[in-house]
Amino acid sequence: MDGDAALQRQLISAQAGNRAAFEAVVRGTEARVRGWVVMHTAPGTDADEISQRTYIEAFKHLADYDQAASVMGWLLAIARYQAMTEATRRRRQADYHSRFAPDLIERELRRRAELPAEEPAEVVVRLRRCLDRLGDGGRQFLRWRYEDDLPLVEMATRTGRSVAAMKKQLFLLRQKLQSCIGLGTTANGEP
Amino acid sequence: MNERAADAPWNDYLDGELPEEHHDALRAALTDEATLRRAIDQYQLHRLLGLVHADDDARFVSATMTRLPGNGQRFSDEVMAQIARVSPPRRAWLHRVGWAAAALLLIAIGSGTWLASRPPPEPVAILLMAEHATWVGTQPSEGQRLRPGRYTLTAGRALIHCDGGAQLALTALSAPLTIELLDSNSAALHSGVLVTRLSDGAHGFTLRTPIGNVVDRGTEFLVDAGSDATEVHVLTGAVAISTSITTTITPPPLVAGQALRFRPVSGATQVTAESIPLTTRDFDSLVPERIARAAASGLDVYEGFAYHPQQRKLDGGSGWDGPWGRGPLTHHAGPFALQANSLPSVGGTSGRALTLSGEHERVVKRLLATPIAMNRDGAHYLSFIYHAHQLPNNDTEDLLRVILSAGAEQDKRLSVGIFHNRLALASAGAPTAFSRELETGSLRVVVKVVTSATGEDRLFALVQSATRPLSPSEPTEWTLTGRPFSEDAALREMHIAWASGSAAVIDEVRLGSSWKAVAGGSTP
Repeated sequence: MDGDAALQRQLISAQAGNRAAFEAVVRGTEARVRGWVVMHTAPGTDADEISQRTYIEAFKHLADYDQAASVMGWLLAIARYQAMTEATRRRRQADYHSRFAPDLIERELRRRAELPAEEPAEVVVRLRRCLDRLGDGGRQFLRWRYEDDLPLVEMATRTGRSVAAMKKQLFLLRQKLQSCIGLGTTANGEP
Repeated sequence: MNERAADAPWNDYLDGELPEEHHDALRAALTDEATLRRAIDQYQLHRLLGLVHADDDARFVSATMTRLPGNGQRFSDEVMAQIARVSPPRRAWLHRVGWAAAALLLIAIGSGTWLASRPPPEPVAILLMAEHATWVGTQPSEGQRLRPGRYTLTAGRALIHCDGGAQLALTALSAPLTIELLDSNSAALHSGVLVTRLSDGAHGFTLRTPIGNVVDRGTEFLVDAGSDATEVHVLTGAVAISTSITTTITPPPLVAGQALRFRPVSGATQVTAESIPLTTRDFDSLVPERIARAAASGLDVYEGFAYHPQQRKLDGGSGWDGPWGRGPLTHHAGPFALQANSLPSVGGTSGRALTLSGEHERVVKRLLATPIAMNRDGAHYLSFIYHAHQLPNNDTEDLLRVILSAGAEQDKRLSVGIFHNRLALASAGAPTAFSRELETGSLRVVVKVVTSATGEDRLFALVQSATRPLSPSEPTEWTLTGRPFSEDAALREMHIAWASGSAAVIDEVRLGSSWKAVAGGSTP
């Protein structure tokens, strides 16, 4: 059964009052929604908060879902609106301009959010595959950085190498992964 | 401009390593379009790496469902009430009942079949204490782990400790109480009165009520869900109330001393909200003294190892400060694997246990959120379940040792271990007592540490088969009594060490200030 068709049935069931069906929709789409949100929101944004608000709004407006429409398309449209709302809220905060280059970063992220991008799930799936292809050392390095949130000086201590070596290692790993998953924009700024 | 020129400072920025004096130069570089796009490409990968390594899909789904507006049961009750108002015909009733009802019936049957084939959800709380308590259906016993689901108390009082750290004092003295445990950090109160208090280190507990969600902000609060109104009283700290129902006033965050009463009007679509005097009831007055004492000195630390087999960061349970990691005792560098084991439970409740194997770094450790103060009068209880799968070739090392340590000072520690098939207690690294030979199979070990501000400290240990339930009350005789010793340090780390060439599992690690808190029963 086509994935989106299954989600459509669940969403229609949720429209009829089946809360468990809505949970199934959340479970079946959260990786993609969260993937899109983390890629298109500025540093310091709580991506999970925006993702959860997306589902809350979807739940509140279940009656508005067109049963012929793509579920992911509908959810991502809500997510896009939530991200824009959050960006507007952040711009109104007194300390907005004290953050690093907020206008430049948000402008480019906003531009990318409007482009017809590929399914976020595909990028996440490719990234997981590319991570599996890394050696144990590379994966351990990334776990230290992204799971354990170790500072570079701690990583340097554990490996007996310098902080500069840690920076280079991280940079090379990211370059390798970026090339592997094919994430990037063309010279024209297209995905 | 060379678009790669900003790579190094931009990656430093992503890793939080860019000095502030370099910000202006980096910002200037990002005004170049090609440089900016390259930087954002790297930023997007960086964010995806964070998401992939978080590995918290189940938590996200659970948290999202908890935040959805409305009371699910009331919603379905209202739908079912609509169906009940339709008179069934004498024949061919399916043609007369609305499509919605038929669809709901089919969904209910399908869901029931599907649910019947699913394994039961994992426990999310413990029934710490119950007094003259009568429940609808299965009667849970004190110390029993509780799975997500509805629990209706028709008489008496009870105290539930949620794995996320919230304690719920329930009372059915004036009316039955129905509570639904949702996950380790949220519950739904359908009717009755309860008071919530958060233990140290806990935060973000959400209580769903008929009018919306009450989210704690480090607090003690009372909710009275009556048949015609719902009241929220904040006793300490603050709560945030979120509701999708239209209210006459927008519920602000409530702080200590404030209380609101919500009454539904116009069916379930609108409620009025009014400020009311604060209740005179609080956590301690709502429960008997012995329950209040248990709540104040109950389960402090819990680890059920309910992790996904591929989960890398083991930071579950409650009462900890950080995830499991390697210990410093061996000072052995190099990677090690820490995996949740999917073997059947050895008497624990989650179906998972921690595998102890491997030759490198045969120590794992975790920090306690609240250290054990050895320089104060008190009693602390530690319990765990242990099962050896493979014995080592040599008998010179402890098969297993669970250590409570002050940290860097290695002589400031207490431990219980299994050595030569006997239980051994040790303080300051020196053994103080050995037991008789142990039973084979899975074992449950309970250690009691009696601390004294002025006198000597004592260690006691009990060991028995994990398949037998522990006595509901503290034993008068212990398997092992250690020699008196004196220690004033604060024990803030738990280490688990095992012998070279051995393999075992450990499960249901509990640390608390009462026998009841650590001597938990099995889950039905």
